[in-house]
Amino acid sequence: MKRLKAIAASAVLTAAAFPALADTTLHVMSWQPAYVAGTDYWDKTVAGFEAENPGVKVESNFVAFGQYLPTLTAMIAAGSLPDVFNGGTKTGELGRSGHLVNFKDVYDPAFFDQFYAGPLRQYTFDDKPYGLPDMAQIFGVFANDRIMKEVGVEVPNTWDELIADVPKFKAAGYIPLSWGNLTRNTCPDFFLPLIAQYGGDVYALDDHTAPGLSWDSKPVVDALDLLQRLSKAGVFPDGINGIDDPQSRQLAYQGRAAMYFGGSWTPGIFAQDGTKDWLDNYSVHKVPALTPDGIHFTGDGAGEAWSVNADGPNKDLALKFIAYLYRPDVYNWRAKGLQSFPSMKSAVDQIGNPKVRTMISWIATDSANHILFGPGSWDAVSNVCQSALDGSISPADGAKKIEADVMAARTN
Amino acid sequence: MNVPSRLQPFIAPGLFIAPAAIALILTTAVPMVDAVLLSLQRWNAMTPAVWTGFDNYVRLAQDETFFRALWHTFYFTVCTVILQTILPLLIASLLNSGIRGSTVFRTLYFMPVIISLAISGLLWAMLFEPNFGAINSMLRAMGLGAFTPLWLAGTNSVMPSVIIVSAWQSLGFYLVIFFAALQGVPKDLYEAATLDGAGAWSRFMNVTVPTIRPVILIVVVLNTINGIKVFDQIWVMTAGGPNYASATLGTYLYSIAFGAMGASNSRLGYAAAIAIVILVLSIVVSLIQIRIGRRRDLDAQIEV
Repeated sequence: MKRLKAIAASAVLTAAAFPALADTTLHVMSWQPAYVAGTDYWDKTVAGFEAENPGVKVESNFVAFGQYLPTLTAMIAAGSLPDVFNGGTKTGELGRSGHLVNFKDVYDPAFFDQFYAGPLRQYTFDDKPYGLPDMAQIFGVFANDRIMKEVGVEVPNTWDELIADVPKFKAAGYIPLSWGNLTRNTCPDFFLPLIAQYGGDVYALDDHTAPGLSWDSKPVVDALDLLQRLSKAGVFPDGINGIDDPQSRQLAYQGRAAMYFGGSWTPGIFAQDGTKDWLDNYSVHKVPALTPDGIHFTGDGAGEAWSVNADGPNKDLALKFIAYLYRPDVYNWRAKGLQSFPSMKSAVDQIGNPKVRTMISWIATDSANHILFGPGSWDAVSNVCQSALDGSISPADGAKKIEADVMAARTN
Repeated sequence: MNVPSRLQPFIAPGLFIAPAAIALILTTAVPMVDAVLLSLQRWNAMTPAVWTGFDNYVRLAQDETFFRALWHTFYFTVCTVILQTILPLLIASLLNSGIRGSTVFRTLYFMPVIISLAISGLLWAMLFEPNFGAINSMLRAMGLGAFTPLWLAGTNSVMPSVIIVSAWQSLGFYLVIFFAALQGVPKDLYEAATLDGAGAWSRFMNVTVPTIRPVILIVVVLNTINGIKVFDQIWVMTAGGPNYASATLGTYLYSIAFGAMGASNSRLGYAAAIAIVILVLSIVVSLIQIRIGRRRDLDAQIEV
């Protein structure tokens, strides 16, 4: 009888000590197609965590990019954020308003040393990392070498060289450089690093707290001027504001464009849907610089980061999941599966694509911010970017409009 | 409990109405009042809302993009009301005149209606693509390369392009409504008109149109409501672009409210103010249409 009582008491104590692990569901939300249940490396990642934590079930909720931010906004408004999620451009404001865990309070400095500096910096606000970069990214120019040879030009080293070569491309019937801005988020990717090329600091502009610093400063005006000169010269496809990214890639695939502007994740997409001509002939290059010996500043960072809901009922378990996700052996599965630029230095060896590895090598010398997190910044810049491309605003007026719109958003 | 005798007749009807009334209050009236209150606040969903009175409305009155969206909504509504009423009516009359194969044509015209807006929007976006889309490729092949518009990518051509798609998509729906109405027009009216020497156009204007006027009014009202609240078709095809050239009140509200396309700052109070303006506009336009409809009915009665 005594033994029976002891067993019963021990069962009760065990249940009381681990109530959370008895049947806990960890809600994870992402817009990244790679993290849908059914994808090999994601399934393996989730299964590994569940095996290490009996009684825990990871529920992966995928929301397509187009609907992701609206969904996230609705969840924020309803106070029902998931445990672990991609915060996107809302990461800064969510963190500052206390909704996200500051990872510095949880992990030691050695943990952060594992990441490339640029991607980690992008999700750090007021010295507090509210997001941990998932995959990193860097932008470049992908050229069709067959077309370049046919036209008789080299991939341009400077913007002026590119403008000078436009008549040759046009005479041969090619669009010089293809990209699309229908969704309005590619123009900032292209334009913001130009501000860095002219000596501006996009992080500081986005923060907008440094005395005397504003969006109508000279580097911004100069960058808008260059963007508009490129557009007027015919560097980009006709109707660039009405073409989306897949369509602009098709221009490259179908041999209508000589070059394509894209990020380090695109070689993975090329491999899936590129034409043979494109796959056989494309090469990757740094975006042009202002001068022959200038720095080829280009967008780096991370397109997305993982954040943890600070108010969630499973906060500790969520942090455990994050630590697991970034454990080198686990992260390597994903990096190997995605074949994209990893945010953790240790995973570089997993990348077999030589073009991606070439792009990774640029991060130490040519990186610049290309995503804005401050209230109103992204809208203000992307709106003026469109106007600069279609010539409906002058560079000086455009810079003033960005500044005015940012200020209006921060007081409304 | 004794219920006063004057209230007793209302008890049974009240009990029957109560569930629906409560549901309506909870699902319509409460959110509406909530939206009005929200329009008087500044709220990004992350920090506590701040009461700002009519500040959002004052800003709206100074917002150029809002007025562009308002103009596009008006433009879309007027064009679609005209096109989507006249075209289906004419084609329905043609099919009703007894031409051979009218059933086949009716089926063909109706097919776009059963395709989802998202799918047809994407298909048309591909057809309209200015660089390699089928329409411009065909024009180039015909030697008309100089006349290849940017379609959805051009600030001047985007609204007409979107309107063309809207007319294509909805033609079959309104055609079926008109066709059904035309079946009910007495044949002897046409015979009498023919005997009086009326030609085809005269019979259409003096017999067909007056007889099916209530149906025409319904189609106009439906088109107007669809025009004012247009969102999904434009969002799928252009997301309100390029550079807000096809932004309507619906797409502008959505991008302000939910920070779509990468935006970092949701302005829910401001978006609620836009929603209230759309509501007021819809009420005003509906009242005008109802008033016009009543006046015409009155005129018709006087004529009789």
